[in-house]
Amino acid sequence: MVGASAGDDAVPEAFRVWGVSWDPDGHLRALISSDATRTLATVKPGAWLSLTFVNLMTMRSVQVKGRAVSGPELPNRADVEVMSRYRTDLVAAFATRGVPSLLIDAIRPLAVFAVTVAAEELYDQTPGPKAGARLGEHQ
Amino acid sequence: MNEPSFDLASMPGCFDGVIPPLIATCSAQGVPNATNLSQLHYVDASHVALSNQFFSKTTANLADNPRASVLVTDSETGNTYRLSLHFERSETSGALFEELPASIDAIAAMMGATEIFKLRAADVYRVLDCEHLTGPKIEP
Repeated sequence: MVGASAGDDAVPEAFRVWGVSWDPDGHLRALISSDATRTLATVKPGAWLSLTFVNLMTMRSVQVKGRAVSGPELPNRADVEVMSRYRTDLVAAFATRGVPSLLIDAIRPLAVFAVTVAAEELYDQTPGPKAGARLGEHQ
Repeated sequence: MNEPSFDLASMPGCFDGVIPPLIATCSAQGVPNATNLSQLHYVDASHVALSNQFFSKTTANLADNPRASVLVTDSETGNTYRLSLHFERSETSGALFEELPASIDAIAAMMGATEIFKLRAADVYRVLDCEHLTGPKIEP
């Protein structure tokens, strides 16, 4: 999973997302790599975020755009479990492409922060002629 | 122009596409966009290129706001870098444009859709900064 933010100066920052979960209000809780220092410094309620999910086997991708409900938060115990599962899934997915787990652990962040996002827009991001097509309104 | 403080030529593992890079752009309205890439291409000491096939939103954003951010991992060392980029131009012919289809063919083959992937342009970006991100590293 990957994502992007932009501060008030419209300068974007790309970052990796190390797992997501849904909170009881239907918001996405994204675990963002702590090296996203601009995002950490600038994200605040109402700020737009982009989160892109890709199936590495098929390259099918979906992008969620929404606004932050919260500022950055420390990860909780459930987040740590989400991160662990995500790492396991990512290692398995890359293994099908011959990428060793050692390399995946090299990109694993030392820490994450959590941001809660209210999804507003959904896009097909699969490489191809329909990339960027809006998939529907979020309910 | 000052010499860049980074050496892209010393990071060949960043340009092999083993770990898919990602690019972030931002619209004029301040809405970011994140897209996975198949591969980042080395152009020279201060420029990189991306193959533009279906980057409709990325292209639209760059028309309004030329700033971009790319995250790329060196498959040889495990080091990850965040490149701050400024979009400079699109090339639709020439040596660079001719070099890029190989990476497109690779991802198209993975998806079993070789007939629909066509290179539109080689998008060239100036690298403004190269930030080495910390994280667990591969031990020698």
